[in-house]
Amino acid sequence: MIFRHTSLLLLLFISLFYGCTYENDKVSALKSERIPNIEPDYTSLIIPPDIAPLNFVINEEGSVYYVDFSISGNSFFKLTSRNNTIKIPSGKWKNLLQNGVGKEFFINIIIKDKSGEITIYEPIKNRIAAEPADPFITYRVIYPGYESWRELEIRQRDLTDFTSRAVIKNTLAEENCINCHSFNNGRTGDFLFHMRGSRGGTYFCSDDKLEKHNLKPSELKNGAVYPRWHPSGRFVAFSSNKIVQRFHALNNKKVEVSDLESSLVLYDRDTNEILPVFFGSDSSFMDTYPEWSPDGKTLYFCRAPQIGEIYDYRSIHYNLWKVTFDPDKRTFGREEMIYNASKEDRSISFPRISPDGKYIVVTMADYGCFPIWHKEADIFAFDLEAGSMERLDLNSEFTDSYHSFSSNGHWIVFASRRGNGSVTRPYIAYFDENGKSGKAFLLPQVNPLSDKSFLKSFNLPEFSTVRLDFTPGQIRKASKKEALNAKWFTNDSI
Amino acid sequence: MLNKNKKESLNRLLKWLPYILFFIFVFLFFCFRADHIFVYQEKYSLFIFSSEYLRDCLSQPGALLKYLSGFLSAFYYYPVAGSLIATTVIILSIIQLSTIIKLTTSKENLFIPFLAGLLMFYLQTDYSYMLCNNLGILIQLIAINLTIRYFKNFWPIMILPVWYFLNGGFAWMFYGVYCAWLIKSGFKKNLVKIILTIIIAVATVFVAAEFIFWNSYLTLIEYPWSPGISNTDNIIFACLVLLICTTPLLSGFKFRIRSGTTLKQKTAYITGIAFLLVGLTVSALLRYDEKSNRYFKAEKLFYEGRYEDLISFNIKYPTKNIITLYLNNIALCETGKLNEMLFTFPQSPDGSTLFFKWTIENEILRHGGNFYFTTGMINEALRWAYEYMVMRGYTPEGLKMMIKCELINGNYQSAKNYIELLKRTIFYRKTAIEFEKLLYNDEAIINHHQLGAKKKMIAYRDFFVITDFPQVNLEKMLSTDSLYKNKNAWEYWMAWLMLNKSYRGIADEWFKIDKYGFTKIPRHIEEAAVAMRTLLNVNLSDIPGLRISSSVERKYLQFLQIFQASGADPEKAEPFLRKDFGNTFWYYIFYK
Repeated sequence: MIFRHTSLLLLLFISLFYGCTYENDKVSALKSERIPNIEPDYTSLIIPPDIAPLNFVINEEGSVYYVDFSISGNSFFKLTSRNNTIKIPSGKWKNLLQNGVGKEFFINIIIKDKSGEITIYEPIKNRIAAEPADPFITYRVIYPGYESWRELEIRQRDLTDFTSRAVIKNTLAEENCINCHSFNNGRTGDFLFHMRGSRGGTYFCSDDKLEKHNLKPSELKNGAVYPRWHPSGRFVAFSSNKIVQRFHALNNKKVEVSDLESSLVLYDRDTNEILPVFFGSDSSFMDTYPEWSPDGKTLYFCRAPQIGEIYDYRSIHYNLWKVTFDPDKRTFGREEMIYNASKEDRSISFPRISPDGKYIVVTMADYGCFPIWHKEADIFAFDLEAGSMERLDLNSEFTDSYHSFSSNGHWIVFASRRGNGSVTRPYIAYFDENGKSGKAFLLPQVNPLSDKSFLKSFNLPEFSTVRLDFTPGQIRKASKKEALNAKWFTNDSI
Repeated sequence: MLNKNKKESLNRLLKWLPYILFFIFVFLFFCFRADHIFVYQEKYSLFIFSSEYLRDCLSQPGALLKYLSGFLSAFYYYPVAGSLIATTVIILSIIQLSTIIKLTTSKENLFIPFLAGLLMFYLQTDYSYMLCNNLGILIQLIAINLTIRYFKNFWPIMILPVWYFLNGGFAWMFYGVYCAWLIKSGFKKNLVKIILTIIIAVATVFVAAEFIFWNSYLTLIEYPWSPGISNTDNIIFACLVLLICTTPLLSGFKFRIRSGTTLKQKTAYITGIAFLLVGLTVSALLRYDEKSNRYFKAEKLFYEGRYEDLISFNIKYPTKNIITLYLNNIALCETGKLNEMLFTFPQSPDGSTLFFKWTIENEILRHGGNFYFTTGMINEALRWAYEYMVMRGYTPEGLKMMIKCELINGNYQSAKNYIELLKRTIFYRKTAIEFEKLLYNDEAIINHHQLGAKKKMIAYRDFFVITDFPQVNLEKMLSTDSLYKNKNAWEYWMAWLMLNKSYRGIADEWFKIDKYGFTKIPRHIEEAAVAMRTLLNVNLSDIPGLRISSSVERKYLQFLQIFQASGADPEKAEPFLRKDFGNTFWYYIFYK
């Protein structure tokens, strides 16, 4: 405490001495008992030691802003600004992070107003985690519209700085829709994405090769939609969904996307075969959102009873299930429910398992399988050992959904509408070994408020350790090629 | 001395006369006969002083042109300014071209410049021919003019990639003229430059397509050229480009009317002026598009909220255009006249003059949400406006609609984002500031003449909108309207029932007339009630305080008398009935 106040006074003295044009003989300093209001909210956070500078805006009246960054009472660097935007020099920030790994750091803010009055605020306290996040986040940039699209792109953002590059853009493929992209747990170069329309197909990227596949043999009723890579990279589990989209007349929800039918299929990349996960299934269930255990021996998924022709969309509740898998024989065991969300009138989607295999983090909403437009949707962690489900601290009063783990399992990136209720932005939060999360923070930007005026959503954020380096020419070439048709495999084929 | 001065003045005047005549003719034509072009183009795009807008322009070659034409098009807000800009661009192009000819041949030649100007004028008379086309031509001509004067070295070739980035496909026109000039100046001498230009051009496009820009080759070569609606226009544009590119080569030719006889200067001058005026007149006559002119004028009245004027306009200039009729019906509804005057205008029995089924077709998508806004289905109105924005970019009316919907729905943060955009425009800043005053102020919205009225109409129970059958949405909306607040939706529902000749439906709704606050039974509903009584023997119960007017009863008797006088032959009776009863429900029932 003494440390902090001493450094504050020191800061005040030094800053006023040569940082500004302070002319009065008397310095009247007010001590505020609160932290200043900064935007984005970068307070009380746990941040990765490799994150880009957390630039922010101070939403407090003032004519000069003095900001001091310190660790254990030692000031690392100071910034003085005549406007309320604080842009942190990258080198100084890196130095701070390197020296503060595993420690708390403080942002001390002093503001001088037009009359020369000084206000000293309570310091903002954040902690630098020991565990780094993955260096890249891949997301799709899209208007949060309903069914139309024009320009879509998948971008990859370097988390350690502010650079972001288009990885795929639909403008070179006749403005086809590009959607669900997926990494093999972010650790390998295995990557895929779907494209709909005239250049339609599922594009697989492995070993820098890009290939177009048609994963809808005539035997498969609905196309392959939500993918998850098997850790071996040989298989990809997909849900095959018949999706319907409807629009609410009233304001609280805009769009309701639901499945009329869905099932799980497995694509074998080695043999180019696609096979049902549940042979001879009687279609009494709708299965979706597959997820593999880190050892690749269990497939988790969401299941709801098959709806009839007439149904109330609010009564569709998905539970969390699992089924064992033998990768050598390509066979699945008996499915088993592991969490009954419908008992609580809730519905589960997007199961994502932590790399240590201890937790499955899911999105829970009141109903349905597409929580992205559900304001009440929140992210929960399911403890596989204890069988308990807990709401994470990273949530907000708006939609929090579509999450992804970093490769070390200590960071979660997810899409949240907390900014204005309409567009999604990637938020990052720490996830500890006890299944608890830290407070979420907005992906930092050079201009801290640029996200506010940008009206497109950043959706499906995924961590990755691999930089994707497609050129427009590569994508164009792949999209023009004939798709490789997957073969349908059933028991009869044996 | 005086005579010499006079002569010089006269010569100057004669020199500039073709330009002056051209300018006056074209300006007046755009001002008084084709101002709809500017109405359309102004409403079709929106220039915003924002980094996002700039980023969008910079995302592909043609950045300078796109940004500049976007900026200038904003001034189309005033059609007179639009006329002035479009005319100035053409006349400056003519001047530039004649200067280029003079520089390359040391001779005056007005034929090619004015021919090019004529083609530019012809193309510009199409409302979909965007400013960036003619502006692109002008910029290339200015650049070639400067190049010929000052840059005779390798600079023009070295800056090719940059020039291409700034001008997109129009850069090819610059390099076309440049190569033609090099050929003219000495093919052998300039062969290296010509070959180098071609190699760098090919390499630039290749690198742009394979490594930098996420666009197809064709887009990269053409953009931002915006093709016209008709193929003929595209061919004419190609001819224009060819003419300009080959100007340095063609301008050396002398034009002879008789073998061996060069036209005398005076005769040539007068003939030239005469040809120019004939060319302009023919172009103007060929391209005068009265239908489009009226269509966009009606649209303008609609978006200015001048509903009474729109109705009068459509009475004065009857139309069969489905979108104009659709907008007119909204105007009728907003002024409480939908069931008074519905059949004064042609109506489509499938309801397509009342509302549109969901489609991503440009004009339908642009206007479709207005029906939902009028009938209080705010989410759906927002959706149409939003989808249009996603497909076609920001437009003034689209952005205003999104702001209004978000304000009504209380989504103030989203509304604020859109208001911020509108505030950064040149001519909509004031409107944005007005909207801004409503942010986070529920009371101000409730008291707002338009937004308050819409907010009160909103349904009490949620339902899924059926986009292929808009009438179902009306039915669903009204089923939740237990307090009879949504008069507009009811008016539309009644109009739909009448178009469907649904006596049963009309009878079911009859008792709601007073509940929706009518002090007089709307004329067409009266007509339906009278018809039901005589044709179906259905007597609708009395509504307290409301009676079917005796004039309608009398008129119906006349209708029947004329019908019977024609031997009850509908075909025979039709011309007589159309004359006096063409605007009634009875005529619609018989003949539609």
